Amino acid sequence: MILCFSVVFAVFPLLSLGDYLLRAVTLFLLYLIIAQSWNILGGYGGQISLGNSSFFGIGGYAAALLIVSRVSIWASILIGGLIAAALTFFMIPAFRLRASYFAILTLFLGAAMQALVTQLAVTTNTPVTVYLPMGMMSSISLYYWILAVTVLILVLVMILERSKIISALRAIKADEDSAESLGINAALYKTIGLFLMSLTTGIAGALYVVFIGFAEPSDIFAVEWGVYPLFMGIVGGIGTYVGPIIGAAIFAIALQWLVAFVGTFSLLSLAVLLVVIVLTMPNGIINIFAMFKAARDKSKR
Amino acid sequence: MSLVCQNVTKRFGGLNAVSGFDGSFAAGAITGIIGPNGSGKSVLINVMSGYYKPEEGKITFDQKDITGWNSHSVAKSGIVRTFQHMRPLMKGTVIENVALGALFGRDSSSAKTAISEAHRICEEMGLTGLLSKSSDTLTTYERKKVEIARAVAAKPRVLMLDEVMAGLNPAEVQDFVKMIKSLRDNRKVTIIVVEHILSAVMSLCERVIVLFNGKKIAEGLPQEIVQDMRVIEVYLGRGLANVTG
Repeated sequence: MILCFSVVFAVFPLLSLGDYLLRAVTLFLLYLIIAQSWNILGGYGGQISLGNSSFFGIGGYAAALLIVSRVSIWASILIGGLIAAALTFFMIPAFRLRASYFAILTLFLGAAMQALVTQLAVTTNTPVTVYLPMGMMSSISLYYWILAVTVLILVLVMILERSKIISALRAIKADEDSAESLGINAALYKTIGLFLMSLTTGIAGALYVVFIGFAEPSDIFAVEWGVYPLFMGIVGGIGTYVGPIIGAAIFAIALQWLVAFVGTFSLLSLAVLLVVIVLTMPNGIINIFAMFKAARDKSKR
Repeated sequence: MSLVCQNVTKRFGGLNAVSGFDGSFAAGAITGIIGPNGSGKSVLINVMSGYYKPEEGKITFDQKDITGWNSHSVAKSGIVRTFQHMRPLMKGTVIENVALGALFGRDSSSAKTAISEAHRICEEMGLTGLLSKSSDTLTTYERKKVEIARAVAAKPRVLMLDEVMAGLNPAEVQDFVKMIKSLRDNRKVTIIVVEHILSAVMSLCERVIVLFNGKKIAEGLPQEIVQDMRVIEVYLGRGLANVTG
């Protein structure tokens, strides 16, 4: 399936359908990265983070600062991701909080990071917005790099699904106490999940900054980056492999259309879409397949 | 000697939920812990399994000091428990839930061996008909069995069952008594049961410990316990104790 995905998206730019579509698909891939990344801890593990904007922003901002100090682009993106992952260590104590308290704390972390970065820039008397040099890379080659990272993440999560890590996270999601009683070190597996999530979201933030050409804290630390992955997960199907992929596709298309047709009401319309989906398909669109299958099995009998 | 508690005390604020508990659970025996509501039975299980940390005292398992260990480390060392209140099972099938125990328990194993181990245990416990059933469609009786099967899959040397028979009908209780006995016989596992259903305790346990207000007030064979004046007193009140005495 991943192979099929890679081939389709590798061939796509060769059709040269114009700049607009290339940008839209690049954005879709970025959305897919942050959705699948969030899915590791939030979907499989049930630890809902609303503050992935902090990882996205830190990854992006750090990469931008490194690039303007002439570190190579790929090293900058990777280090940006690693710096975002380093934030994990500050969040480990947050795991003492359960469920909604964890979510609230992560939400504040997102806001705190934006304030911190902006204040640091002001106090050190450097411009808050970091502009990257123009023409670092053609939009086609950047597209292929982002595609490569997307495929890597899809492979990573597929490997995780077959490993003990996802089994442990699923058990923790169902009930942390009984998971512990079976010998599952909940703190360890949640930290692994958090680390992988922050690393990949940080890398996505760095790629985004390279894509748009500048790092503006009020953009890359915006709460939306913490909420989008949730939206995509819920729409597609939380804690499944294919769910976030479907969710990201719907989200990318819906956002482009809505911005074009309803303008300022686009976010409101997305919210309406979310409510409709939650009411009709609480387990996400992926559940349609399960519903069809159940109906077919029933009619067989 | 298997699991030994020395002067174990657990406080909640000013309340001594368990105070100065001394007791040992012999390897391969089935021991019952009884007592009226609030006497500290479940708290004791929670302390021994690492869910709570005791304020005082020492817990050793095969001479190893395990006082204050985390739940998962206690489970890895071979002391596995089930919970009094039914916990949500992992989404998925019965076999996946049971395999979870084998995957992470005392000898954590690969996914493949965990599944085959889970198949063996389900067969032994009469769950064969439910293997691919989704865990959220089970009855109380089936769910409790799955919970025990999952704990058994973790290869316990001590299995602590916290009110597993609550909510079952008399025929199901009898079935559980038989099943727990055969688990002990087949797997040589030490079993500790906390239970309210006294008839089940009497037919299942070889030794009974009675707790009242967090203190041990009696210990002995089941037939000795039912005649113990202090036990009758805490269960039925002082007046009736005089009548029966």
